[in-house]
Amino acid sequence: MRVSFRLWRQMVRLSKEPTLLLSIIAIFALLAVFIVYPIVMVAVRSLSSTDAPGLGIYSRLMLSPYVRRSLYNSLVMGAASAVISCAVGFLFAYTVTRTDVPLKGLLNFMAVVPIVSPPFLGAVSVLLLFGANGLITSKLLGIYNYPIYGFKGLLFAQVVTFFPVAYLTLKGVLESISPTLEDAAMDLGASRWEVFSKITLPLALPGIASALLVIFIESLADFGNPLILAGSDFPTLSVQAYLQITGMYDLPSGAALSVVLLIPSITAFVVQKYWVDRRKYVTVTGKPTSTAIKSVSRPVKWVLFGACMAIVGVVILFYGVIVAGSFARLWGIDPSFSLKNYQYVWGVGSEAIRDTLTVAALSTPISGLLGMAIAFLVVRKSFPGKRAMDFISMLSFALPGTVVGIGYILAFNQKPILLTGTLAILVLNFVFRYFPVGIQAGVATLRQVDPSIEEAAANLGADSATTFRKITLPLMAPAFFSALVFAFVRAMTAISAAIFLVSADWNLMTVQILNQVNSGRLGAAAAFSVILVGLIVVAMALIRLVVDKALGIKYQARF
Amino acid sequence: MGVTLKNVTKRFRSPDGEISAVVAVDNVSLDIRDGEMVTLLGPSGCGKTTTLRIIAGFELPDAGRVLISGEDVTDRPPNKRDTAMVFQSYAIFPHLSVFENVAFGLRLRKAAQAEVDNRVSKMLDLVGLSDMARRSPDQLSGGQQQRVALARAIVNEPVVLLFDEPLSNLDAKLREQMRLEIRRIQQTLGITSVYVTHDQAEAMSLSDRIVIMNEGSIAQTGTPSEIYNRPVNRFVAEFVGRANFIDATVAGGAGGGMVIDVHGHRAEIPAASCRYPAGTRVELVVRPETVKLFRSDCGCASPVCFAGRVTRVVYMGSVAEYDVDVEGMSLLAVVAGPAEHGLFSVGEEVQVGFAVNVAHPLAVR
Repeated sequence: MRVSFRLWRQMVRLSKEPTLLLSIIAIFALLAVFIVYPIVMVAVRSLSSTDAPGLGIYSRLMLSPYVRRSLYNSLVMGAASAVISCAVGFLFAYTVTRTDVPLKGLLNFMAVVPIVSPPFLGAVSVLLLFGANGLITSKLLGIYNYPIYGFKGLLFAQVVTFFPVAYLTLKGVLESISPTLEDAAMDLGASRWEVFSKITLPLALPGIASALLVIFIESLADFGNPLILAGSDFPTLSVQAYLQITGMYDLPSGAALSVVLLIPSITAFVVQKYWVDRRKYVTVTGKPTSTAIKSVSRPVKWVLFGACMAIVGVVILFYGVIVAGSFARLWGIDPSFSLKNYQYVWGVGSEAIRDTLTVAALSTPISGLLGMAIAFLVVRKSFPGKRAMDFISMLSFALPGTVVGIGYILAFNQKPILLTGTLAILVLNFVFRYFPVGIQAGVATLRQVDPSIEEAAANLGADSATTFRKITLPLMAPAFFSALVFAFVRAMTAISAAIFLVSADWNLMTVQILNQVNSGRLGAAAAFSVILVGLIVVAMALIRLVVDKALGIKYQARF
Repeated sequence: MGVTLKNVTKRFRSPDGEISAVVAVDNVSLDIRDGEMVTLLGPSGCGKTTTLRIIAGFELPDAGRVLISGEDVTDRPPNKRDTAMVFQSYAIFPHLSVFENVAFGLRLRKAAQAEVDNRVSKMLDLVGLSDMARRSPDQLSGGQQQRVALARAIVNEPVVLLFDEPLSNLDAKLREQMRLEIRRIQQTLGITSVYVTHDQAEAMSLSDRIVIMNEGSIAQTGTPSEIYNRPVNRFVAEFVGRANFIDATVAGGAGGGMVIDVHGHRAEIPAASCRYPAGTRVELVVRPETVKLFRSDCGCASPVCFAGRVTRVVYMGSVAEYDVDVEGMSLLAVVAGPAEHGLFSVGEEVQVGFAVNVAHPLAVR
């Protein structure tokens, strides 16, 4: 009775605000069509195999040792990648927040570089460093044909790619632990180690768990790195699903593998969102004081610093080798300086560059606006289905790109929505994959803005739409622009879903880079990557310039 | 014994290692006796918190020594000192229950479970939280968190208890109640305590002695009544309570006392506060509650009286505040029980008098 009464009241109130009601309905419709429907299509299609209809396909797949190994590999890789990336990220975050080591700016910068690069660049670097003509294996150590394909190489590439995610999360977590708590523990007689093990670490634990799950999800969804590095000895689910469809033209099997891949991803997502996130401690209260007592002793500080610098060295090596490779005449054989890779790339790829920029430029503002609108509705309004809206929106974070890509080709290759091969399918895909960042940034900002500011506007006679436009939107502008930057970077570097959606008319740089790698032209792939990262850096600088100078809004990048 | 600070000086450094021009603590020397409760009182930025943190070991002084129970602890880290601090933000560990928060120090010392149980429950009894032991800190109110912080500090039986503005996050009623409770517990245990606050009422009601600090130095040390009745300078007089400053001249001595001239009126001050030769220009510190107002047709019952005119009236129930203009100088009077004598009104001509024997002369620099 109570619940339905509340529902009734909410409906009555909504009916008085048609704009609000229409926006809510429109957003639900969009979420249903572009997030839920494709996933449902994947599940439905997996049951439509001709030789093993219904659930039979799953038992057939699970009996295949190759598929079982793929599942095992994906899970083990996800776990290993999550643990090591978090360890490295924690090392960085702890060193930056709890010590006074020099070069913190460099540490920060190096942790952000992998974020603005295509996610499979790590794999290209691993090949340039450890591959057949690798800098380290064949040039320095004289080992030819070092078996870098498989678990080791992939883990290495993934850790370099994903540790920044852990770093940024854990840095926030460690910053939010009030130093006074550590002071208090020490005052009560705890040694530095006891402060760390009894206070700092337990308080950071929910954050660490959250980072572990996020990287587990990302690692499961990773497509580019395993496609390049896994080889046939180390199958993973995302790559197998792709190969089933593009290699064997077996849509039901590919769809079924996607469903198998979805299960651990969504489980991890639900645990992260509804269990771990609830357990976070809020400890910054009262006036923030910084402790003058160093959390670590001098020798430990330099050990931490040394470890960080070693990792910085690896990151520099990883990205340096891409630049070097792009200018080498023939990597590993003729290292002399040459622009031939760039000439080649310009020849084959100028169209892809234009397409990529078009897709990114179109999808970025739309996903930013949609993200802000949903953040506003979720934080400030009450309406039936609010939690569902929040869940579905954030879910697209956890959906592996491969699954989404397959879902889109299944869902939109026939009337009424025939989009296959168009610009629209790429733009829509990017919008609905990357708008959750906008939501997160928007929610974080809105939670800090006192609702009474908006209430004041309503009290003065503004309706919902006017309040949103005149009051809320300007307040959310910084979050909006940081979401824009993120969405742009992701749109420029996305591969896993996009690879299913490109066509002769609309191709993307990332797909072309992957093609170059697969045909063994590492130099061309490197040159292509340098251009891509260059474009991203220029675009970020432009956005920043516009925001800083033209709009005078304090800009904060959030990833 | 107790705590001794010897010529302690501290300057802060910027993150780049540059030494700040401002001296946070400037050559402070202080003796705190065993079992004494001393308050460091001063405006923000006066160095009181830094001094406390130096005693705790969170800050290292640039110069000077810190002695606890006669032992030099200047170079010891906080975990090696017998001090316990109650923080302004309480600093309750959010991942531990109330019981485990209080037991934290005992567990570090590897105390036996029976001893931990025994001592923690005794402490929780003392602060009145026995039935909250299993609660998580986020289920506690601010005042309860404050009690946990206090119990956690004293369960380790430290030699010195340090309070860093512990009540500033509580509302006024609770603050007064906690003030009394802290004093009760401190006196029950007879534990040497240093208490930092910027609230003079707190300092007055809690302390055996008050140390007034200003710009890194000690302005005055004394019992609450010494500080209030015989401030050493204008800063102390203005910081603790409210004060009128009235120009006067020392006219000479008479017997044990001293005669001063206040705008042509002569009056005698008892010997205790006389330190100035004849002819010295002084300022009299006259507390507003010692200023009396009389209706102009009733005559004046004070030895020193002026004619004045009321310029402002603030009625506050138990007292009324008046600004009175006397020969171009504005005097503040706080009159108790305004209902009894009837309110004066703005513009009313009055006689203003004050008891010179409780006025305190300060030399004019």
